[in-house]
Amino acid sequence: MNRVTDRGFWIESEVPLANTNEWSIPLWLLWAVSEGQPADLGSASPLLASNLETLRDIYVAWTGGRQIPVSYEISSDVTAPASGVSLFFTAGVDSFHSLINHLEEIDNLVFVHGFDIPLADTEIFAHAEAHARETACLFGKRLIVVRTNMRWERPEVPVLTNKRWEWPHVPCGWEMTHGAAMAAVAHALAPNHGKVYIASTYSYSELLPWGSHPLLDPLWSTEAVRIVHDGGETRYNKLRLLAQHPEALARLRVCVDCMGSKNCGLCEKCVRTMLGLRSIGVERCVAFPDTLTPTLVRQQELKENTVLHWRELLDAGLPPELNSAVRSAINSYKNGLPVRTGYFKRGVKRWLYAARNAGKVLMSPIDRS
Amino acid sequence: MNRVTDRGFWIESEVPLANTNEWSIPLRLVESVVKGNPVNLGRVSPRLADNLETICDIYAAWIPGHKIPLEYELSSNLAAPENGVSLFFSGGVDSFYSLIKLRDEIDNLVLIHGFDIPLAETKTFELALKQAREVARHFSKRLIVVRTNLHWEESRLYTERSWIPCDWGMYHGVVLAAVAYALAPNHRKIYIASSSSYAHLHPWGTHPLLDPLWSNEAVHFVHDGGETRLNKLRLVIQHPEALSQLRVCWENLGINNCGLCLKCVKTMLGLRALGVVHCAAFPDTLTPELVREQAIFPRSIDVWQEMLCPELPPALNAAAQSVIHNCQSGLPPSTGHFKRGVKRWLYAARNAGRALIAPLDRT
Repeated sequence: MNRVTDRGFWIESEVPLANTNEWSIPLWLLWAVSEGQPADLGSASPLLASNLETLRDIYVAWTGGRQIPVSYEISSDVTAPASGVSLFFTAGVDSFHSLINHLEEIDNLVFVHGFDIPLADTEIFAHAEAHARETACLFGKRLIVVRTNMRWERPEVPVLTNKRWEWPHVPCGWEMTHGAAMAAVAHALAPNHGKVYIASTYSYSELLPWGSHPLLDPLWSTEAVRIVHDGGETRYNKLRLLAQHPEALARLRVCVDCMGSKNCGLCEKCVRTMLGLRSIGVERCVAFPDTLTPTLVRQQELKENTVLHWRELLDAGLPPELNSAVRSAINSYKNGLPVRTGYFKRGVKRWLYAARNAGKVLMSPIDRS
Repeated sequence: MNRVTDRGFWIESEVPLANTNEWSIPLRLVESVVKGNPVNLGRVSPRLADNLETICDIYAAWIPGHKIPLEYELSSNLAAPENGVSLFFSGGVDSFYSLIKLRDEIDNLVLIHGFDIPLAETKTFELALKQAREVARHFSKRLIVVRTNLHWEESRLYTERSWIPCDWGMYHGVVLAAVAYALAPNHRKIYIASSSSYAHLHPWGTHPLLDPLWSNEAVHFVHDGGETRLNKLRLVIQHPEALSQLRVCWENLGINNCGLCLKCVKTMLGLRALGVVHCAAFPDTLTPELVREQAIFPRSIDVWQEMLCPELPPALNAAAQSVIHNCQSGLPPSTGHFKRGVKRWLYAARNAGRALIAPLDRT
């Protein structure tokens, strides 16, 4: 087992790892933005160095951090890129789409223990790893398994003061950090590839500040490892491609609650994916239990970032009762109403909320400024 | 005067222009995305070719347009990059900010007649040109003046629709890319000043995601800025000679800034928030009543919110808050007129009715 460490962060894997500390720059840059303290990032390759200030500016704007000076040296010996192309793989819709889209080009699938699955959950990880290995084998790719503590352990040094660090160990919250974490892993794995794909989460038309983003990801590139944000397709179009590959569809793992080891069929992400499949005519998918009902769909509580995916499902060919359930879930989110469950008490609560909202709107012409 | 032409479109300038047709690729590409026709782009340099599909995908998602199959050949004889760094310069806050920030690096300022000022508006352009000359002289930069019919037909005034295939907000980046390619013999790098801050990005023709993708081997595109508008103004007011030459108004009334339109009001308000009570570039028109009359787009709420600061006089602060509130509540601006007041209440009643029946899930 090889391991790289830097001031408390570590990454380990069976495959050869980089022998410089450039891999930890993304982590320390985010640390600096989050803590509002200048950080010494060490030595950066010229390409990455030229983008560090832009990366900082974007993170400052997106996380409300402080405009801190960043110091770094530009390294003179630039490593030549290794051959090989990798893809971060979770067996979800996005990574399967990128795998199929670049099937010829991709050599390695990178599977990380310590991102979605906490380091301590070894049993779940073993299950997920076996699944990923089987998938890699099926598609004829090498699986690179990586373990890291960057999300789930807190190093003792330096002492953290910023309360916004999500437990246990992520500056700016994992939603804003996961792209930088992937960049760190990509650079640590530099001897294994010259190009790494990060599958997109959102389509180009629905961009919002997010840790992995078409604007951010390429900026983490170095001369040795080019980082490519792949996709920008809607989730619905991605599923449409997946539907042509039943072997991929059967191996989909999207569930956050089950940490990607199986699909619960009840959480928002499972429901949204089952809806997407249904809308393109896939009635039954072995990867999901048979749980999709209009009532389950109506009960989903959406958030700012998930409602984007739900809007794509509207009028996308769903059966009428499911379509109106999707409409209802979106409508509840949009109007700030509790979701519809069919219970009488909840129904009354929805009308009370609506009356309160209407009262506020009615008084809106009164200029309080 | 040198001129490049393609299918009736032309760009002309006193300076040397490119001798290939690569400059027209952005135009043909985006036109095809809008219309959904497959297109043959001819010879494309490898670096741009690498990004064409991404550009297409972004435009298809943003306009919205169609995903089209692309045909092109890779060009083998690549023009070596020339020396020189340019900045597109309109005289507004964004381009002044980039000019001041990058003053050591920039060699040329590029002013385009036919971009926001129609070709037929010679009087307004004369004024803009005089100002730009003054700025270029002050900062010791070369001014490159370009004329083009890419936005407006030569003989028509701006009141008539121009012939661009999609909204100008989405298209202006395409025209900038075309002009930057046409000017290839004059620079190796071109800066496009940002419009929005990184915190509030929305689909727009010049965008930190889009602009760098236009780079080819000869011209490197950099989207500069990503600062908030108030932070940009903060830098500009430290240079009184720049401040007095600001030109933000799009009304083209033959004066620099009308002092009455939304853009003028926004800028004057920003200046006031920074403690600049009088600015030679603007008439003295800023009153709370004028501010209250403005109707803004949801995408510019952040710019307005930024200006709500203790330095802004209370009456103006209240007026700006009212503008933001009206935009958020979907109400027409409050002008103090009785009829407008009634209209506001009618709108509110309609919105309240909608909110009241929201549990029916009809929307």
